[in-house]
Amino acid sequence: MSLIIDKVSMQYGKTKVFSDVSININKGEFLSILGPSGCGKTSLLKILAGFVKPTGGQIMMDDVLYSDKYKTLPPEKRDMGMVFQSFALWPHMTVRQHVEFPLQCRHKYMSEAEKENLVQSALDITGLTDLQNRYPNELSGGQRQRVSLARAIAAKPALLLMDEPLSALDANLRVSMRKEIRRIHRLTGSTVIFVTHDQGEALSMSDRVMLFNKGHIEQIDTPKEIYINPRTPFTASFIGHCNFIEGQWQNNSFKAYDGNLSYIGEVAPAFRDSNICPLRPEQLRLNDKGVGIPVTVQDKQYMGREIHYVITNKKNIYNIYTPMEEEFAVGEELYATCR
Amino acid sequence: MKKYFKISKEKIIFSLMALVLFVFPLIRLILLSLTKEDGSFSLDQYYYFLSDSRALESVINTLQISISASLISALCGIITAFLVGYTNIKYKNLIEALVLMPFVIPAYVITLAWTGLTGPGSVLSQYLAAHMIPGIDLFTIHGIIGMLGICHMSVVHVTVVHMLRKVPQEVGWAARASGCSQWKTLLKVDLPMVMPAIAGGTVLAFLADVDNFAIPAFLGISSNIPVLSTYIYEKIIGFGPNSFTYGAVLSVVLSLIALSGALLSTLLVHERSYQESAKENFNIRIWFSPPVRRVIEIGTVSLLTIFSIVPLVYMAITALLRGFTFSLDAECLTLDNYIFVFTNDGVREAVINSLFMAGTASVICLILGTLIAYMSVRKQSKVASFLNQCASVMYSVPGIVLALALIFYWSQPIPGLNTGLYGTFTIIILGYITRYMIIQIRNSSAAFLAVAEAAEQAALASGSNSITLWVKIIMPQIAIPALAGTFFIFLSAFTELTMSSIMASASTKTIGLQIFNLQQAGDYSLAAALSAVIVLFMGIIYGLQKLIRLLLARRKTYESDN
Repeated sequence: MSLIIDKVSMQYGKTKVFSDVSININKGEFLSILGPSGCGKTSLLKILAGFVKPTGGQIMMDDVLYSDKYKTLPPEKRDMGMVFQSFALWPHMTVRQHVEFPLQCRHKYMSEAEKENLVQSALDITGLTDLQNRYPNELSGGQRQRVSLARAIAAKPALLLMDEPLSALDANLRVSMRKEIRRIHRLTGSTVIFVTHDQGEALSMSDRVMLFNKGHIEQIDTPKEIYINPRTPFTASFIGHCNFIEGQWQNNSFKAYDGNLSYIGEVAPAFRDSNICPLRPEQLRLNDKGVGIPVTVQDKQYMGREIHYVITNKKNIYNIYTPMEEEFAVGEELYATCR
Repeated sequence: MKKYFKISKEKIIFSLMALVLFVFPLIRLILLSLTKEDGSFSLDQYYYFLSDSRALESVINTLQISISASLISALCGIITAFLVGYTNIKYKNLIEALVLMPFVIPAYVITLAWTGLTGPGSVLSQYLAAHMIPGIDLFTIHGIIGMLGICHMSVVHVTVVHMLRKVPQEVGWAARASGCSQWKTLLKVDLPMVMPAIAGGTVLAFLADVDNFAIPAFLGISSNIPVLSTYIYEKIIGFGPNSFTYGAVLSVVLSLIALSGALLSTLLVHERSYQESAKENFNIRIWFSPPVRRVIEIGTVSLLTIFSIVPLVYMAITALLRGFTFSLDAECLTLDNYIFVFTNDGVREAVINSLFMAGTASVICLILGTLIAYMSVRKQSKVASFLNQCASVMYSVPGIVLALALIFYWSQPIPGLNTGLYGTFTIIILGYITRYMIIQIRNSSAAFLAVAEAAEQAALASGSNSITLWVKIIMPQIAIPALAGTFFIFLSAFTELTMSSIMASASTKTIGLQIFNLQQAGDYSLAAALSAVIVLFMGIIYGLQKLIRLLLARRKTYESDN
């Protein structure tokens, strides 16, 4: 066990931000904290970093007490590095000075040659060697983010905290930086805590995803588990954009009330108990053969690889993604079934 | 064709305004310093300057006083800016008000108050003497430095506190996350990032020190400590042979000192400051524990009160005294000094003069400045921006130099044409307009920048003509910030001393001059009473302005609710 978060709570005055958050994070693990904005994920990260004191619970790192309600180890004494959404670069320092900074602060007794090695390797890993004498205002957005990364990993911290590091980048860069961060994670072996509101980032990068909503944990699982087997309605709709079909469960088989739609498989008790079946848009199919729940096509978006339909059945609205070849017109009366 | 003609007419008017108001007077001043009495070119007065030991003493004093005072201002201003901008202390509004007070209240009033507090016979001096502690003598070079330092610390404070708030909080966090302690982070990250503001603010304080006339005049003339501004004053008032030409030479030297300071600031400020446009962040970044916080709050507030309020209160009280000894017994108290203020013809005349000239100048500034601002912000008029730049140069030219330049120029704007303006209201009003125009331009420009251009276009698209556009859309939105500038101009001009000290004649005396004359004549109690009344008046005006703002702000929220 590397990092233990035990029943941590946070409130400002009477406003509860979150309560009783617990998770054990393994050494070298890549954990994403995912959630909509305002869910408390950034507050949790600030507590992990030591900028904010929690109002309850405790955080232990390798048997060292990091935070509880009485005491917080100041950020500079924690074995960590941090990457910020705004990059938080220092305009008066060069790229190289940024990377040297944590080494000067954390490893006062390290030999110059060793420091030099670490600086060089951080620059190499992030591909900044050629830019090392530039100032932040002479760099592009992606390069600035690399500097922020290089600074965070330079002192080889056991824990790497990332606060929405990709949000300030443009769409294409965001996708390519995902790979970069994965690669850096593999090379450094640090434990990474990655805060994001983008489920694509969380699913594609993490070993485990912790889904946060309104101050509590909805689910902690591997990306695959959390996608395929959501435990709560929130997880199902936030991660998989699931449709909730009403119907009757019998053991492992589900039959919809509104038409001839059935599904066979395991779902979490939360769904079974409230007589609904969560089905992702790609799990549904449309046909004009009269089999399934009767629906009307309300809207249709051509996405290239697939077509996204919004369909209605009485007052229910469902999303369905179909392959290109299954094309229907808006207003058409169709039937929906499960794949 | 018509449109083309219209634009060029504007250009001509604005260019003429820039030349006549700003450029020609300065050129005339420089030319005058280079001519003999018969009008031929000559460097004689410059040679004389180099051999004039009192002039050299003035230059050295000016430099020594301004540099030391600006460093004091910087030290105090940085500390208050840090406390207000970063820490969890309370009473921040009070602290900022106390820091700003010595800047808003005329420097001669502050100086007068301080000389009363520290003068022989004051409670403080008696206390110090009784305890064998040497008293404070303000009529020394250190006294002048101290007064300037206090009066101009707000310049540094304001510049630095805004820059501190613009430093993103994450930048400090990044250093903490890299293993740097809180205080080291301040030193290694925050300090370098606000360095341009510290340098810029200090240079501004330096310029204000170089420019200042009131403090060295009150403290330095009687104790024979000349600085350039008071030396120019002595020369002009002295009416000796060549005194005007020599005054011009001294003015050129003083302007060069100010100019090199201003150049230094542009060099320092244009460093890598990439968060220029960053938003101000009011988060608390440094938490003091409650006892420490308490000590800092009490210490800061009481120190600032001692500097800003105590002398003024003491001055107002001593003006009630019959004799020189401080005693609050009934038989020692008198209202004579205050009665004098309200009944004396000279005082009444000075008040009316100042009200009239400041009022006229501020209204003209409001109209012209807003027009120039509109042209340069909305129409991107190059001539208007040129005017803007000229006006800002005028504001950094020391006041005494500007006054002299205007006297030379307006007495004879075109060779052969003697206007006889010297000694009239007109020349002083012109002086105030020239000096304070930039304040109006800046305030009005900021006001226009805050109004979305789309709001104007929306009004036009809704079918409004340009009159309804101005009356219904533009004016309500710019009124408060634009009038704030006018208001500041009015108060500055109303209490101004530097320019009127050499521009005013017996019949155009200003309040500043009246107080200065009383002080120079040794009538401390009368000067104190008049000063106290002026401070009270300023307080009332400020209160009124606050009230109007409050009322207008309420109306605004009421409207947006509906």
